[in-house]
Amino acid sequence: MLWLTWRQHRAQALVTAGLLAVLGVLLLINGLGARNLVDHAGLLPLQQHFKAMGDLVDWLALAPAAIGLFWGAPVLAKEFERGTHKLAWTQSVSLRRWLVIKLSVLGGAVTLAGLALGTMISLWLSSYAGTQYADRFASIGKFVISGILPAAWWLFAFATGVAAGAVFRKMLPAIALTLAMVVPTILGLFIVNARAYYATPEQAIVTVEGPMSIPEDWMIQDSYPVDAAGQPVPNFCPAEQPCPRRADSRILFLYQPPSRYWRFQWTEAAALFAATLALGAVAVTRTLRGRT
Amino acid sequence: MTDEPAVLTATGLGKRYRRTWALRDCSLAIPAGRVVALVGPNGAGKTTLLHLVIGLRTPTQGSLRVLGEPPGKDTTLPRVAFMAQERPLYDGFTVADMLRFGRRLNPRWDADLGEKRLAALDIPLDRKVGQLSGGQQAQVALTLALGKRPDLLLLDEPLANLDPLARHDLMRALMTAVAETGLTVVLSSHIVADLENTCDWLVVLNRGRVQVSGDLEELLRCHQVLSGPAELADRLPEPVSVIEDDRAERQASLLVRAEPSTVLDPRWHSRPVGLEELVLAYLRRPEAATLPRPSLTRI
Repeated sequence: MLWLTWRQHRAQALVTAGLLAVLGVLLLINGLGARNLVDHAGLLPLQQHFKAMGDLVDWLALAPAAIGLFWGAPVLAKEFERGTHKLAWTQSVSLRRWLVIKLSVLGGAVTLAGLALGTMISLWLSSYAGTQYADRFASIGKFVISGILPAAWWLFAFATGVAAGAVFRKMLPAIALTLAMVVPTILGLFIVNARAYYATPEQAIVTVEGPMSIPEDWMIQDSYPVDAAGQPVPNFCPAEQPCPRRADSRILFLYQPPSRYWRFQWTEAAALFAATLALGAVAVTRTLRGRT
Repeated sequence: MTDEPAVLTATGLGKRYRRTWALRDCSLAIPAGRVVALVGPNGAGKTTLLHLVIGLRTPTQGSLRVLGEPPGKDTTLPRVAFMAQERPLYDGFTVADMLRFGRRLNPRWDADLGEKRLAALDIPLDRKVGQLSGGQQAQVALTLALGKRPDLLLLDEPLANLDPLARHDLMRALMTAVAETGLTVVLSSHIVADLENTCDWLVVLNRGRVQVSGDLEELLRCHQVLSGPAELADRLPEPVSVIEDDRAERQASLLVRAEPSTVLDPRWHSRPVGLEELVLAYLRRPEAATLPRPSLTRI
């Protein structure tokens, strides 16, 4: 069974491993270069150096879609579509065992690949330590591809693909459903800034004098101008009243401090893992009950 | 015959897809060592019955025992082989990969048999399965089934979409395997002529019900075609049952079931019945049935 799993999915495995290796080399080169720039050069060269890699890395937040497509969807949909399930499930391995082995081996491989990515990104970001480019918390794009989250996201996308295959039993609809579930989930959480709500935010009032900068790596949930007593000041002043001067206004921030990075990583990973289990249950029961 | 153990026993077996019954109230017992022809028109439930036996489907009602155990279990699967109608194989695998597939997934796999068979058939091991001809793919599929060294081999329309030469080769390969190992074979077909010289047990399925199940020789012996004056047709003795009644003017031609010892009016002219004739007669009259002999249902 292990041989069969490898033989059927080796293309995906090799391509994924190859891409991760190439990315690793690029990150290593970029990271080593950054160490010199952080200490000795000005802001502009550092920014350019980061951008060279950062533009590519930003796309990795969408990598789960590819995992669902190439790793998840074919597991059941391709077998059903080609009728090869009648071959695979009539050997000496029962359907139950076939499912257990396939899903655990492939799910395990996807998880390991995700962990590899998360570790590489974390190490790469650490080479920018002390600059805003190392922000792995405030920048949601980096939050989801560092630490353990890539593993959780990739496993979730894999389970989505498998479940879609169990539901539709054809590649094209399974791919469509996988994309329709994974991509909006990624973008939706980003758009509603869901991570800022994982815990009750801290509050801080920042007095604005001249150009303002937010303390390092804060994840902002909300901010609004307040008066000296900490009461919100309307943004639009009625015409008859004098407006408080914006230059010295005080701004209240509701924010998550970067010390909550790991706590949030585990929160999101746990939620994704729960969804993964539910999707896995859908895939298994649909397949087993498809015989009735 | 009563001592032959049953390889397959179905009791009141039924299978429903949504609202339609594909198989209903099906009771069968098939003794070991037989080559069983499972015949019936398209949609009669042949594929459904085979899928139930191999465990790709679960029955809606009734019970089914395969080699004495419920189907689809880890313990029964190694002893039953199945070749689906479309003869599915992994197109991207080489022939050698397919053999490896057989070896890795079957504890009783006979590596020697697989390689020898394919070598004898001149099928190159390094060729992708998708690039083989239909006849070669059928042979690879059959090799996979035989290499499993099954006690029961199920073949769903094994000859469909094959040219006459490939049909002949496949049947010959099958018969060789049966002669060598004594395994039980159930093969379905809607073309009766394919099975005439190879099978020794007949099961006729029609509209989801079993119409006939029995030893082929005995079935042929117990049926005959009578022709004679029409007025005699309504006065046949009790143990004779009429399966097909074809009358023209004052002549009647009847296909009847009767023990050969039955004494008939000498004005009848009697001749033996052919397999195809027998099957067609039953299919035209779904309400007629020759059910399993009591000696077999006992097991």
